[in-house]
Amino acid sequence: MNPDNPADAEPFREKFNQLKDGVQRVIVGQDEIIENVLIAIIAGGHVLLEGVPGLGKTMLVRSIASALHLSFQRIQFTPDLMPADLIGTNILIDDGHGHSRFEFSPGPIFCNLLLGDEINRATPKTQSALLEAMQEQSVTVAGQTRSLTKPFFVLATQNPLEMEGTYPLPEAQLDRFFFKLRVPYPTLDEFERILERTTERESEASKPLFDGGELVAMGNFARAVPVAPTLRRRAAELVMATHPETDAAPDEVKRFVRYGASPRAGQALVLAAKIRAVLRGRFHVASEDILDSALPVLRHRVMLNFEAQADGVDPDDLLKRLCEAKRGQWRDA
Amino acid sequence: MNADSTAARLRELTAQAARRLRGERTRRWALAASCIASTLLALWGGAALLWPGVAGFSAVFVGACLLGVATICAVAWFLPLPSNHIARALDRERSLPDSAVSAHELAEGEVPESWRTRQLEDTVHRAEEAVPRRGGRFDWALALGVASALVLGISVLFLNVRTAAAEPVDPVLAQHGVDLEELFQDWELAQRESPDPQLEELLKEVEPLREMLAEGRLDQREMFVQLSRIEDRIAAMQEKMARESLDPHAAELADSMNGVQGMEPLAAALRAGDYEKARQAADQLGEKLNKPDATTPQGAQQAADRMASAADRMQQEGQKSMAQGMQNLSQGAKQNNPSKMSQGLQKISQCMGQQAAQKKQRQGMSLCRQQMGMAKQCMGNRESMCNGLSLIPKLSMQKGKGGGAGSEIDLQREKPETDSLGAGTREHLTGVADAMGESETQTVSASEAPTQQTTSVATADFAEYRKLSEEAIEDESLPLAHRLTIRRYFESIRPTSENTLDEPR
Repeated sequence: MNPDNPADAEPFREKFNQLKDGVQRVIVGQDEIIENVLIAIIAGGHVLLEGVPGLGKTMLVRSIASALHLSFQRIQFTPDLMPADLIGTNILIDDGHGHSRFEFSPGPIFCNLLLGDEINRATPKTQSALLEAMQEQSVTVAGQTRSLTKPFFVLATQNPLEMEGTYPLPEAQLDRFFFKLRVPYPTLDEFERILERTTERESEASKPLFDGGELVAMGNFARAVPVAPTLRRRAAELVMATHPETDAAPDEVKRFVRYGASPRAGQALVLAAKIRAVLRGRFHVASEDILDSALPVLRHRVMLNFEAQADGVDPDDLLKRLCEAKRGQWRDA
Repeated sequence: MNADSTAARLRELTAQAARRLRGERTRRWALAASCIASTLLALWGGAALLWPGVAGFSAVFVGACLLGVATICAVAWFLPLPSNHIARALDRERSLPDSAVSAHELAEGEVPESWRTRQLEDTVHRAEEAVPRRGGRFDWALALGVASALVLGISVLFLNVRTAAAEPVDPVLAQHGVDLEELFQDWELAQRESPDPQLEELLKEVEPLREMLAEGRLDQREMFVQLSRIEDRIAAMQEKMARESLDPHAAELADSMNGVQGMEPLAAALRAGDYEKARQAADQLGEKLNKPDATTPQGAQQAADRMASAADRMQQEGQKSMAQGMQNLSQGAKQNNPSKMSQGLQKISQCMGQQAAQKKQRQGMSLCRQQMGMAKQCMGNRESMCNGLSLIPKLSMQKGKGGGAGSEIDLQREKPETDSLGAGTREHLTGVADAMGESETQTVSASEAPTQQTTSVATADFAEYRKLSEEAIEDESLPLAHRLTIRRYFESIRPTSENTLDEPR
């Protein structure tokens, strides 16, 4: 897939749709979640999936891994999980000749696709072990830095209900997730199909479609999509509007938001918008691409203040209103 | 379709969008301008309804509003539009997902040619497939504003027209207008008969007021303002003339001539402020002294210094002609030169002539000012004007039909002070007191008969006199001021049941 050849947009769309269809053969419904996870993966980002247990989060990630022919590891995060359990450690090996040596035993993080189940149950120490891996795609053990296999994606899940005995992710770590997706409960029809698919016969498994290299090429192609200065500015305006200290912020943001989204949010917004533009058959980024990507990009990067938490303000509602305001403003511009 | 034709097609689409955008802008601005113009018209009309002083709708105002709207439309059409703005409009009009904006901006950026061409093609393709939205969004708020303003404007216009048609003319005010016009005509007549530069200037001053009176554009307040303005103007003119008058120095001049034989009449006339008489006296004495055998009057040498001092004083006061005359008089007296004294008296005579003329003008101005003051007073009391004064002596003293002979004091006297009454001009009418015109004399003697009878006789007489007076008033030759005086007189002597002939009238 050549980034200099816009005609490759068509194969891009075909591959994306194949991948999506492959996952949808296993996962019922959740179209938007599947699409967003795939967009994040193509962009080379990590995804935080939030949803109650049993919604198929793990199945979704497993299906994607299978469809992409990627090495997959699953870690169930628990309070007693140690960083070494995650990234690996040097162990003493006896060679049988009276000599011993330290040998690095890689942890489950050495894979292409890591599913971190219930990530908020691990201690901050363990959570922070993921930081370097997520951003630098490398880990350092005993002073030695080891690169992870590429591509490397982290798809983490967390349960929003059981907050007892959990350790909320720090802002720094949240910011490293490209998207935060809220997995909704299936509709009645979807639920019926889930029951049918999982209780009457053997569940269908997704087949490998293409490897990680193809995924990286798709990402590189998407990055070549041009963005007009006006659209780039709009993306920046949207991110700046989440900062309560700026004049661009609406009153509601000034009242309820403690910290706005970081510049990483802007990068994620533009990258996601580029992929959406290609998927929609366009050769440029439009406002709708930016706005459609805004919620998963911004919802975990906007920190609400105490008043908002006391009033039960949902960041999604706040951001939806902000996006609608921007949509109207840009339409009349 | 190659890249050039694609770009040309996009330019064409953009030009179409620009035209539509201009049209839309023109329509929007025209609506806003109409809204403002209608509001202004409505406000104007409302003001005209509430305050009678404000003139109603004028063609100039309505024309200016229309011209303003037309100018705004022209500006809206011809004002250039930014290209980015046009691209956005094209996107909006054809519901394109920022395609035209991107095409416009990416054409100048560092974008690979392949992407740029593909994006351009995609934009043109989408734009041609899309059905353009016609007319843009309807601005309900603006339309509502225009409609409200129009309804308001038309209502106020309608009310204005109706009010103007139905508004009764204030009869007292109208009468004041007529009276003032007659007064000004009186001034004009006086000016024609005896040209006076001050009066001429005053007539020019009242010209705007007369125009407004003729158009009926004045209310009571405005009339007051105009009359006060004229009054102030007269005061200024009077002040200027007073500065040029010899009155403050007349006594000093007369004193300087004391003891000089033959100069007594001149000195007496100066003391009395009668400059005409003073001129005559100076002429007579000058002629006498100009004769070859003339000698210097007795006492002249003694008075020479006083006259020289008076001459200096006149020089300081700016009365150069008078100063020159007095100087000659003084020198002639000192040099025992009657001829030189005669020259001085000639100059004094000229000066006296000028002062006499100026005094007349001052009297005229004083009367005019008095008339303005009385007019204001009458207006304030909502009475008819009744100043009893005219600038034309012969009109002031004109007799009515069958009127008897009589005399009248000079109403034009500038300062009717009691202590100087003797110095005032008294004009005697021609004719013999007994040789009256058509008039009747009836004597009603009080008798032992009941007063009821006497009263009825008085009532009958009153009615007859009243009738005669009305006829006299109808006579156009009677000046306005006198008509009103006559009316007042008859009102004051109207008999009532309580008011009998026992009381002398």
